[in-house]
Amino acid sequence: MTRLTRFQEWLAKFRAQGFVPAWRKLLARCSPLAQRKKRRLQKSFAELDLVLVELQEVSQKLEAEFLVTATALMELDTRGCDFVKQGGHLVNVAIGRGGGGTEVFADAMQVIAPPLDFLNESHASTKKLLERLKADNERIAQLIRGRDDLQNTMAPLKYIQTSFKIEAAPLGEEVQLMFTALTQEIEKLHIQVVEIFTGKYEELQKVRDNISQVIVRLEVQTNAMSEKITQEKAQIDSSLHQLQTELQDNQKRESSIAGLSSQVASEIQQVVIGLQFQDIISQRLQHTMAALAKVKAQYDGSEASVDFMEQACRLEAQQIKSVREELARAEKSVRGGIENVLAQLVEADQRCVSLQEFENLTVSANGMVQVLLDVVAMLQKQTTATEAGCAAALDILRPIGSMASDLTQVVRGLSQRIHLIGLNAQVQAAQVPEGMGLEVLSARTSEISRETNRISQSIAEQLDHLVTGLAESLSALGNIHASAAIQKITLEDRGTTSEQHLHALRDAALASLTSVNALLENIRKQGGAVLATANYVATGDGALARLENHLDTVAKLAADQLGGRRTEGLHRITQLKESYTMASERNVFESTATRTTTPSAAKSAEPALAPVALGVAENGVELF
Amino acid sequence: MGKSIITVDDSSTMRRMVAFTLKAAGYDVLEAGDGADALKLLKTRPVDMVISDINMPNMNGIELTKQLRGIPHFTRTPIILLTTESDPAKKAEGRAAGATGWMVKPFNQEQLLAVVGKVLPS
Repeated sequence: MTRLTRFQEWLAKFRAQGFVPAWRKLLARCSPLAQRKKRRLQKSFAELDLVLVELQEVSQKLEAEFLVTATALMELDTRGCDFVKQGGHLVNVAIGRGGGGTEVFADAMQVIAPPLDFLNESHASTKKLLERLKADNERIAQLIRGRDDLQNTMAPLKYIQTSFKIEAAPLGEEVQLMFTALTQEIEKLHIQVVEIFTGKYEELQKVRDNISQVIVRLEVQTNAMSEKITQEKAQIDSSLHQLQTELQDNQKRESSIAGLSSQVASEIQQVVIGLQFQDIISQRLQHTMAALAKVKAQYDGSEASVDFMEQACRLEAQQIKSVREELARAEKSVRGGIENVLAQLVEADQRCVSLQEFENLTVSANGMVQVLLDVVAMLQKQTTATEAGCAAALDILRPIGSMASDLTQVVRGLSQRIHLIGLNAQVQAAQVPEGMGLEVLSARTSEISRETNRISQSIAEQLDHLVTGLAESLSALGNIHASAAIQKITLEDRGTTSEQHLHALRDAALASLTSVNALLENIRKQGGAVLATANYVATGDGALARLENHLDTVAKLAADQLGGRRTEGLHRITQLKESYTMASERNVFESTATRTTTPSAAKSAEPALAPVALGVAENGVELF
Repeated sequence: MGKSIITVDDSSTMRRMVAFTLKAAGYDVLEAGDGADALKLLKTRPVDMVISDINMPNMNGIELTKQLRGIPHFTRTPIILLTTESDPAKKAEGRAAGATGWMVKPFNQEQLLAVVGKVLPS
């Protein structure tokens, strides 16, 4: 456009608007005040260069600061991952998953279960044994009572012996001699019976006394064992309960730490998003500088260029305001994320097993094994003592077997001999026609023989039962003793292994705890270091605010110079739109450009800035 | 050995964030500050995927995409343009240059990994 053309255009407007307004405007432009305004605008716009230089420096500083934060964040994340890993390991250890996946506590509980069952079973067996021994002793008592029956049954023989003498006396010397031999036989038999019953039954009485002693001892031992088992079982149950509670708590901790791990990842993600705003802010500042460079290039003192300057500076002031908000949000996001990460890690630390808790746990399991070892050792000692007592009783009882056999033979021999005497008496009495009394006596003798035979049979049977019963009692005692020995060996062997695992576990936990504590301390320091780097507002906001104010001032000076007149500035500012490629920039442009179309409204109202959310762009991904 | 990805961006922080996300997922990550650096690096060390910014000094992301598509080894390599730009015209330009996809900054880590998982042949 040539000067002539411009002059012609101006002249046309001058004519169209009327002479007076145009004349006044011309005067206004040429007045000293207008010239002063123009100079002030030019000076202020020129000073913008200094602010832009400062902005360039600040942008570089911000880039460096964000980079330091990014580097520190990566370090923090590595340590955080290590911490979560170690925390998980620690909880795993506390659950007992140490030493190549060995379920240490489950093993310890399996070590404990069989001896506990054995203790209960052996207690029941000993009680049964006691009952059996009591029955054996009752059998001996019956035997002793059987002796009295036998003696009572044989007692009439004495009377029969005398009666034979009396009845045979009137029947002559031959009959007397015959019955004298018979009575002598009866006399011998009686003496022998007395000898047998005094000697053999005295031995039997001794056996009964011994068994009674064994019973008393066993009863005392069983009662003591029952009491001990009750006490120890209560202790073991309590330890088991404590252990199970701890294990359940630790299993909860395990899932809770896993949950925390994902929360930490989520917080880190927020920080990652916040840090990316460095690039966004940097590009927005570059766009602002490019826009202002365009304004500078187009400024020629004309109203159109001043109009463009006013619109562009107003727009860029809004851009800078929006950038300041983004910067504040980015810092808040980064700091908030890091603080949350630290808080989550501290919480994870609290959810980890403490040293004291872990010691309780291992001592509980360890102590339980020791208690069982003690109980089983006590049981073994008791069964050994019981077995020894029973063996001593059996030493006495065992000859009873042959003694019983002898006694049975003797009793049966006696019965046989009495039977023969009775028969002999009957034969001899039959030879004496007038000896009715002798017949009666011989019949009575046969009757005594039958009764004696019945009683001796019963005694023999009872003796057989006694021998069998004692053999069974001995076998039961032997079984308890052998089982106790096996249990002891097994428990010592597995208990030792279990104890070793528990110790190894405790060592692993201690190492893990130390590592967790060291890591947490490092994380706290690292977190503090990251936070110390995230001071973006302090670094950039001053310069940004100065730029914003300066742009506002330039815009106001330009507006003042224009005095409310509008040229094609709006059209020029629309050309800047192409530079604003980000959604947030376009929002600012739209709101500011709209406002510029109604200048009177703009003066009274704040710019309608669309809120810029610090988040991921919606539908930000497209695969071609 | 894991799949290798190059992140091209003039912002060191952006490169760090992309590398941080990808390395944590097990990828090997190379970094370049602009298209020219990337091109130079990729001539000696091919990768399985390219994630590039658009606005960079020396050579922008769209030019880099064009250049890479001209190299036989990179004709099928996934190229994702990770940019602050959301202008449809720019997007069309990227597509025409041969980019595989477009992602607007700031990215979400899960979103980025999902895109990588989708375009990177297993």
